[in-house]
Amino acid sequence: MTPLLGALLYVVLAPVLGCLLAGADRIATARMQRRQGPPLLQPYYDLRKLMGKRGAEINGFQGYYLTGFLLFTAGAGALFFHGGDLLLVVFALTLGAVMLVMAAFSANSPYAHMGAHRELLQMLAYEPMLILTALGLYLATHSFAVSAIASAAQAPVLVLPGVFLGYLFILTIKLRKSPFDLSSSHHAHQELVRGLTVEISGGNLALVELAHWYENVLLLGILYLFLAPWGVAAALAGVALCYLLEVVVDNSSARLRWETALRSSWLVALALGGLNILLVPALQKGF
Amino acid sequence: MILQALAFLIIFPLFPALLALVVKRGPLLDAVVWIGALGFAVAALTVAVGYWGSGAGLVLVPLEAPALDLLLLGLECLVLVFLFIRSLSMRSKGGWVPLLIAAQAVTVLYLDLGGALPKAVAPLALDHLGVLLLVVAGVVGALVALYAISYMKEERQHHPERPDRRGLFFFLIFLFLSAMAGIALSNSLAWLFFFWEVTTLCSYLLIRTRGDEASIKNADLALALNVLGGAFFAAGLLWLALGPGPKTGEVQALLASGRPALPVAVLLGLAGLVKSAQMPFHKWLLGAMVAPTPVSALLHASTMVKAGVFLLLRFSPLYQGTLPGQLLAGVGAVTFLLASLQAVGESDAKRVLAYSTIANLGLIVACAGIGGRDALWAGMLLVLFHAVAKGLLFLAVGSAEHRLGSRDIESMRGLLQRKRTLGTMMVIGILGMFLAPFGMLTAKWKVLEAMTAAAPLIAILVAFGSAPTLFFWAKWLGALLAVPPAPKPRLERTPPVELGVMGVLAAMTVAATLAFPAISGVMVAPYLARLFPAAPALDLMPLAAMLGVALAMLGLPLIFAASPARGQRQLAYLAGANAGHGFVNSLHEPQEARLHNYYLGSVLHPLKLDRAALWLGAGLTLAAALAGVLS
Repeated sequence: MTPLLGALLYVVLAPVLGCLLAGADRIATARMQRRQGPPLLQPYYDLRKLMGKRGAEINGFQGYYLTGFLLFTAGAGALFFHGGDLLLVVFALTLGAVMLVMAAFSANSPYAHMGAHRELLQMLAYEPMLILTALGLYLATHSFAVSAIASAAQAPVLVLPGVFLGYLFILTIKLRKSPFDLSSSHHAHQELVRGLTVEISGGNLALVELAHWYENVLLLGILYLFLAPWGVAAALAGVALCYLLEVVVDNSSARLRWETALRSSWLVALALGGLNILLVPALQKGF
Repeated sequence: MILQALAFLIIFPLFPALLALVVKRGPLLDAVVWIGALGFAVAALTVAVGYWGSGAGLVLVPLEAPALDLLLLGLECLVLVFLFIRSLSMRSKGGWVPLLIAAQAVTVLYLDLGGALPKAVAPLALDHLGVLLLVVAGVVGALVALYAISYMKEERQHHPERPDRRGLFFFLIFLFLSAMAGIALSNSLAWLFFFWEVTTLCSYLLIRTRGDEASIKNADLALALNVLGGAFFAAGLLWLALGPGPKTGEVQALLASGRPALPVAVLLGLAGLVKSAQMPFHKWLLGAMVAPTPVSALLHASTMVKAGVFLLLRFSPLYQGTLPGQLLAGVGAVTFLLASLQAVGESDAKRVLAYSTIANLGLIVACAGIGGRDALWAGMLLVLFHAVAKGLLFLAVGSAEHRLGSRDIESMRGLLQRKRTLGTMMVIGILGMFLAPFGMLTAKWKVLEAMTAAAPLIAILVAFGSAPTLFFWAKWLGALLAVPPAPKPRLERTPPVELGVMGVLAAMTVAATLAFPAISGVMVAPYLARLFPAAPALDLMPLAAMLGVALAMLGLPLIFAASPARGQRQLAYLAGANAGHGFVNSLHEPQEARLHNYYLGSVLHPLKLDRAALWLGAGLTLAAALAGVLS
């Protein structure tokens, strides 16, 4: 597969995959709660409905920020599936996330303001581990290029077990799962935990959903890199298992205070990610 | 010819300096500052462009002038005597400060008159690193001086009760620019030390400008710490004269003598740590924020503190791959992390900028300590980008402070809507500091790539420090971009000179982002090719991706400006009926909705962070010194 084709396929297929993933997530969640759950394509129906709504905006800037959020998130993913520099992918993803936060800030309303801060808190919590993931994959494979990492001789997870677990930990935050869904939970029962998007509606909210689908596929793609040398089937099965684990965690835990979220993710990043990275040369000698 | 050009750069600013002292105020002072600033910038750029165009490597400029050496020695003694007398009247405890100054004076006299240190054959030299510092000092220095004309006038209107010291103020600014040119161009260690002490003097007196209690206290603190830095410098010279290493009075000869020169390089590096406000010596930079904003922008953000990292970058080839080098890098990385965390808890815009400056200098120190082609590349570009973007931010905060009557970030909520141009300047500055594809982030990306293999521990610290910078910049940016529901009272106009200067800096921030590869190719790459001839060509390919992002970012607003507005406007959701600026509360009374930023005080205790900064910084600095001296 040529690099350009990879990027193109991602741009076209990621929304489909992301949508199916969201649908499967909702069904799995429902079954864990002994419910029937919605049809697999429910997220798609929701998106269509959002797009059909009459627009209502709190100011003229939100559309701009949210388009930026979508473009930069999809751009980060395209760069990833193009085989580009993993660290740049992380930075582009961050740029997209900042755009989303700015959409909330620009509303200047109390709930959106709090939501924006809580999203920033989440970024503060996951950002170190996200960067450490890129650094770890570099140390394991001697390259920041996704194409080179994917074609490594041995699975990076073997020398990076700590980094892998650390990434799984912050994946809970990135996927907006309990116990770390501080800014935008899937279960919108309070304005406080949905503050990030409380002032966003209609087509703009559809942009947010779409960007999340792109983002989730990219995040699972990074997970896939850890397992890639084991072959497509095994690696995909591993990724699916990890995602299922996230759903289980989501359904079996209550939301934590932000202090706990921040402290625990930095501790995990330091203890699992940092220590693992320092030990990579020793681990590599072991093989 | 080259000798005259370099001498001109150092001597020229002294004329406007002395004239300012004579003229003191009025339109004539404005004219002196305009001519002096523009003249200095043009001269610096002419020399720089000529040098880049010539394709030359290191240009040594021999000069045989014993009288000049004697003159500089006399001036240096004058500076030290002046500082000695001032330090005697310091109010806070600090009895050791006069002692250290006296020790420096004795050292200088012993080394110069006793002939323990050979005289430099080529006291001046020109290379890409020096030219980089020269351009930063010349361009940013000139712009800030022009801005200061207007700012100091406003300052005078706002505080008519304070004595008018504008003549002295501009004297010190131009004296400082002369000293910066000296630091950038000196090859003689004795000359370098002289200009080093002059910047200490300028900084001390400029922090005192306002003459109130806080200014005097913080000026004393800056003096005390910078004297300590000077003592490290003197100790380095003394070691050079008496120690077992090479015997030379020239920076370049020291570099050429390799490993035996390491102890001296580490001692001089410690002086650089103090000058660039690394932990545990960082307190003076925070205190220096009491000075008028142009001083903060020029001395304490874009140029003088860069002299510190300049020295470290200069000796970086000696540090590369050594234990003392790693420890110095550790000081920088710890400073980057802790200063970024402390900035999260600040709401005073200037203190946020000060902490962010300390943090970014830490990043450059880490680059210098690790060494190698890529780290040095990132470090040099950081010097440039940080000078432009941070200079812009300080000036924008200064103008906003005069408009809003406060420099609290909370008071800047909705600034972009209230003051469109000024707000745009501040937004560009903030974007330049932390967001892709702007230069700072591009350089940080290279820092991480360069360090992961060479020093994973440093890279981990940088990864952790990166997150809080995101937090405090995004929260500030969010405050600026907030769209308030109703117009607030109109603000006074920003003077056109101030806007013009900020406009130039903002344009430079954007242009530097777009012209990144060209800047790297002209200003930095030839230097690295000379230092690391064996290294493969710089991989700038991902930069092309960055440029794509840059164009997307610039293009997006245009698309949006062209498309019609979407949807109807609605009011914010306030869990109740909207009423004016707020909502109707449960007692049926209108209640104002107030917003306040997060400072994370329950996790990031300022005192604990302070203590960590002190112990970690001091421990690592001490370890670096010991490892350096014993190497």
